[in-house]
Amino acid sequence: MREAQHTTTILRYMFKRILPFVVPVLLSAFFITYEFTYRTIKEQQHDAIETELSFAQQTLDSRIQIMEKWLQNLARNGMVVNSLVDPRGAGEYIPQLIKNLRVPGPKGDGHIIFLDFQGKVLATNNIKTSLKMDESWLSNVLEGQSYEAISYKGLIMAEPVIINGLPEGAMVLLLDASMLVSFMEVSSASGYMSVIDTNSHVIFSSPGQDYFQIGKKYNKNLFKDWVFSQKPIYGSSDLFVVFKQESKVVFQAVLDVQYALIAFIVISLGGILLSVSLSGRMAARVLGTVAKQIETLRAEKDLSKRIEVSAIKELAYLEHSYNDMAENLQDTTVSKEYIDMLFDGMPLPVFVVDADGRIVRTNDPVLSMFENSEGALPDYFQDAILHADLEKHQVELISHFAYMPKNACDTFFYLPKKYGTHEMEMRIINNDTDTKPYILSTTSLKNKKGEVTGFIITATDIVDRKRQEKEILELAEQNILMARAIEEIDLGVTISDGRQRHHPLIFCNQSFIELSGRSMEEVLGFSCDFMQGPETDPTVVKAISEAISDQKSIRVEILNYRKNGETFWNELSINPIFAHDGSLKYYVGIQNDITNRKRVEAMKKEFISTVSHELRTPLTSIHGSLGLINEFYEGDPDSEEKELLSVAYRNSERLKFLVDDILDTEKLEAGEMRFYPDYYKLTDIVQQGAQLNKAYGEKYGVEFVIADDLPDTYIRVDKQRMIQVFANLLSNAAKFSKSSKQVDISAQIIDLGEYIVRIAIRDYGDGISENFQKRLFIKFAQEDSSDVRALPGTGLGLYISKKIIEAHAGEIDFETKTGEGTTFYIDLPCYDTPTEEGEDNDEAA
Amino acid sequence: MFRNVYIINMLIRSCVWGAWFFTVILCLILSLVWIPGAHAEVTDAPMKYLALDADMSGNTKDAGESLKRGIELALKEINAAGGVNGTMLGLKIFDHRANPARGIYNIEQIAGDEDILAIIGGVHTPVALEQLPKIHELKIPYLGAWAAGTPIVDNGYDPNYVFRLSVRDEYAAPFFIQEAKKRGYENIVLFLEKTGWGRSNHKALVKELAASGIKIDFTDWFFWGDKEADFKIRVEELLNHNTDVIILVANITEGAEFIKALAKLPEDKRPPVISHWGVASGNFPEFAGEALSHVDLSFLQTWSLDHKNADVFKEKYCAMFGPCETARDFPAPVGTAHSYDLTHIFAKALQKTNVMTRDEVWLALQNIEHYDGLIKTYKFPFTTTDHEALDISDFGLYRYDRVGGIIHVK
Repeated sequence: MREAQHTTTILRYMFKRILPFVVPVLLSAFFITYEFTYRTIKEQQHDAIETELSFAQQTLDSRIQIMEKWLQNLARNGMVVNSLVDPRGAGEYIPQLIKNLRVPGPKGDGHIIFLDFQGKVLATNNIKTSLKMDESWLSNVLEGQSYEAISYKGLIMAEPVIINGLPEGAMVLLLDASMLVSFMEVSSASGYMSVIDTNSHVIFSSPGQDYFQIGKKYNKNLFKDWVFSQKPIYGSSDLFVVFKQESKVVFQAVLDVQYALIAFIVISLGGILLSVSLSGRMAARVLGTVAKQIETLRAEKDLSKRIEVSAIKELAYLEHSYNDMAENLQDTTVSKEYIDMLFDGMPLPVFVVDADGRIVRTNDPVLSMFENSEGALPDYFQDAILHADLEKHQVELISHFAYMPKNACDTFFYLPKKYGTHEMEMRIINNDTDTKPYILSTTSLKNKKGEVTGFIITATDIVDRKRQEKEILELAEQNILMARAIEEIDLGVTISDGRQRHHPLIFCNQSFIELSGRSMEEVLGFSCDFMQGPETDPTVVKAISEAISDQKSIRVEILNYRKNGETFWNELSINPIFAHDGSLKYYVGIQNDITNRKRVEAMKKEFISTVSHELRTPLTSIHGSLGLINEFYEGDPDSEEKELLSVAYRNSERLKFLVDDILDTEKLEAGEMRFYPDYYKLTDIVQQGAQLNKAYGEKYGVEFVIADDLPDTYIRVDKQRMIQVFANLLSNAAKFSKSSKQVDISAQIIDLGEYIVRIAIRDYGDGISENFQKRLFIKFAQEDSSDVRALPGTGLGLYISKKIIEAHAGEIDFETKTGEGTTFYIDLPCYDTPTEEGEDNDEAA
Repeated sequence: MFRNVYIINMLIRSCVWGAWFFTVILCLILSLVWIPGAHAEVTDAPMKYLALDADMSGNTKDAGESLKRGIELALKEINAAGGVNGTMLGLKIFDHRANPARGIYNIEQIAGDEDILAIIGGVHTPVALEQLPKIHELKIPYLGAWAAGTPIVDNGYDPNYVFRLSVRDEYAAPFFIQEAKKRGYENIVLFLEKTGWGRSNHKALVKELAASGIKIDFTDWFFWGDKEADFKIRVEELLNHNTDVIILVANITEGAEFIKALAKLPEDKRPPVISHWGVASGNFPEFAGEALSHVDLSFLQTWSLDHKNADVFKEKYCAMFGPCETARDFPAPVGTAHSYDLTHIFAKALQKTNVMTRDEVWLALQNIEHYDGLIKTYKFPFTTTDHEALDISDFGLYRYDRVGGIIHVK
């Protein structure tokens, strides 16, 4: 009851709050609107008066103007002028003309007088006027000036009549006061119009007003409650048009607005009070219903009842809120069962423990965590965790927080208690030997006072994650190794982006930086062609470009430039790297500075070249001379000189061969060896080759046996060079035949899609050792490289042969078997007939 | 405004009058002090006067000036020769401004001055015609030096106080017909001003044409003060006719407006104009302007500076009126010749009088046997029955040359 004294109804409350605000606002609105309207109406009235006055002014101006013009034209009229010169004839037309004239104006009346140079009347239109003319102005008119005067007595207008260029008469127009009234008549829609002269005599006045009498002076001061305004007519200060209106007419409109505003205020106030009253009642009703319902809910605990929702938004919101609340309460009781189901159905193991770590509740997956144990869960959660892990954790707490846990529970739950939630990696005891790593996520449960009452712990199995981490670590280690290798390697390694247009470099190692003489910033992002310079062989550059555009690997030797302009020979290999989808991804470039190697090669080549040439000339002479001397001693077999000479001759011959081979090699390598191919019958070439080496074979006691079934075909070769190849192969065969005394020469056409003939030379010697097989076609390769070799040879023969055969688009190879001998093969393109080209053997290949 | 204008007018007028007043006073003082000879002449010898009544300030003021110069030149010669029987002759000028009413007024003024024995009249026939009653009422000899209206002389008054040494319209008409015929014209158009002068010419022309066989295409009348625009309508009527020649009776103002309108017609529709001499009564070339060179205009004259005895006269003229450098310096020479001859005839008549009265002069004028004048040698210039000193044989056709001089059309 005491509380009720302080409470009040919503309605009263709303009135108390709204009225002090609404009433001043409405009153202010009233005064502002009233003031604004008053000013607007006054301005409009003023504008209306101005407009009416201007119109009247223009009307009168134009009437006077028209009148002037008319009189002027009359005075200039030919008949009028002529009548002065022709007084006798004028009688015929002037009286008629003047009589019939009508003065421009509302009524057309006016007294017209035609005067001669003395002011004598020549003609009039006989209209009587009461106006007495004061003729003081006439002399001026007869001197050529126009005259015009308007007063309340009347209007006088005069124009000179000019003859012979001189004013010799006058045309005069007179309007007396009564005529002037109609001439000056102007009307007003909203007030009264008057025309007054300079002495304030009224010339014209709108009918219906007593104060303005025509001909009388008017006194403005008589009309205090009137609105006045006036304008001069025809640019004159003698004549005015005056507008007047009773003030009450003007202010009637203001009064009307005033009444309308008061009515508006009253209606607005009433409306506001009514709407406040209605709203208050409605709010009171709704609130009452809600309160009653809550009371019922408390008493009966029946959650199913709802309130009917009204149409008013805010109240509806309240009602909705109640209904929602009731619904939520209802839902909460239902959802507890769902929560239990949810808890049990969760795939992660969940523990609910009390503040001491005692396990209060677990879900089913918890059992599977301990599947290998005997199924008994420890009472305390901390007992389920591996002891060692707790110790590690304990160390962490001590080192980070200077906190000394008293027991395992303290160790585990210290951080969750402190921060609300905490995650840690732990191993859970499965059995004595098997433990599994888990991430335990612990959330503390607090009561309203903020005291920790327990924890919820979820466990996530991280066995797989651990394994992946290990793999990633290993992989990373490998990568680091590889990267270090690339970084350490003595070769320049670059990777350029094959997807971008100019293949900019995206990686290079330290060796490349040193090689190019540029910094990392000057290299990355740029195309590799910055290494090229003016002396770089354009054919090589072209080959690189083609390989890149064909997305193929290439290996070249190229002259490159360092940043400082220094050149170096670069052995460059470029390899494209493709993505899984087959698209080009990168180019990997390996650069090797082979400048030194090149220099050594060049030096060697130069040395050999020089030596060979310097040797060959004297050697030929020595060999020739020794040959002659040797023949001289032919008949003296026991001569001691003969033996010595024979040694000298053989060695000089050997030396000659060596020098020739070296020269050939040099030519081949320099690409200077020229071939003159032509079509020859295979049998001819083989027979000639065997024939020419027959003597050499005999020296070793070896016979060259040509097979009978040589195919009847042609080959296109340089005959001399082909003979040279045969010489090399047959001499080798003879040399290594040892005990066997036969070397077989055979040939057959092998079908490899093309038309190829294979010539085979087979010896029956010891065969070639496995070690030597690999070096067989390499320069200066000989099986016995000791100082004292059993058999003569330069070690260049096979190398030269291979090069010659390759120059003929052929191949050379061998088959060997230790103890059984060796077969050398020459594969060459063959032809059924010599083609026409064959005859044209002058053409160099 | 009206009041202000009035006051301003009054102020201006008083200033002008004041200025005039002081000028006149100054002139009087100067004349008394510096020209004792003239003063003695004016005061000592008996003076009789001729009056010149003409337009001295309007559009035909050049004609007035021309008449004045002829009289002054003659009077100088007469007075230099001792005057007429010891009486010196003077000139009093009255300006009728071409206004007949003013002309009548002038006659009254002249008649009131006993020393004025005769009037030499100006260009305007309408003025002269209106003056006739007053002339005869007040019995003052009127010597017409220019106005050609036939009824001026054939006025029905007896005794007739009007004498004329000028063209007579009645004679002008046959002269125009004669000139038209000479040039082979068959269709003519008449343009005449609607005044007494116009009517006088019309009457004469119609009468003459009836006998000549030349056809009048049409006749048109115009008013004084008509402008080019008014003439345009009239002149365009010519496009509907096959006109050979126009005979024009007009003074310079309307004559010039007419010529301007005519010049606007296509060249092949622009007939030649034979005009009465009204167009030569002032500085017509100035009034007509450029249009004059586009119209074949010839007009009647009795004398011009290319006359056989003109050179001697010109010398005297130029000695008195300043250097004659342009045509403008010798305005309307025909008027000068007429007034010069008339003044001498008047002096001869005066010589014959016993008492120098108007009646004696009137009588004497009709009894002069011989006078060797500028225009011709006169034998009885006037008789009791014939008050015309000139006849058709004295007429010639003239035109303006390029510089505005008047030359005889040979």
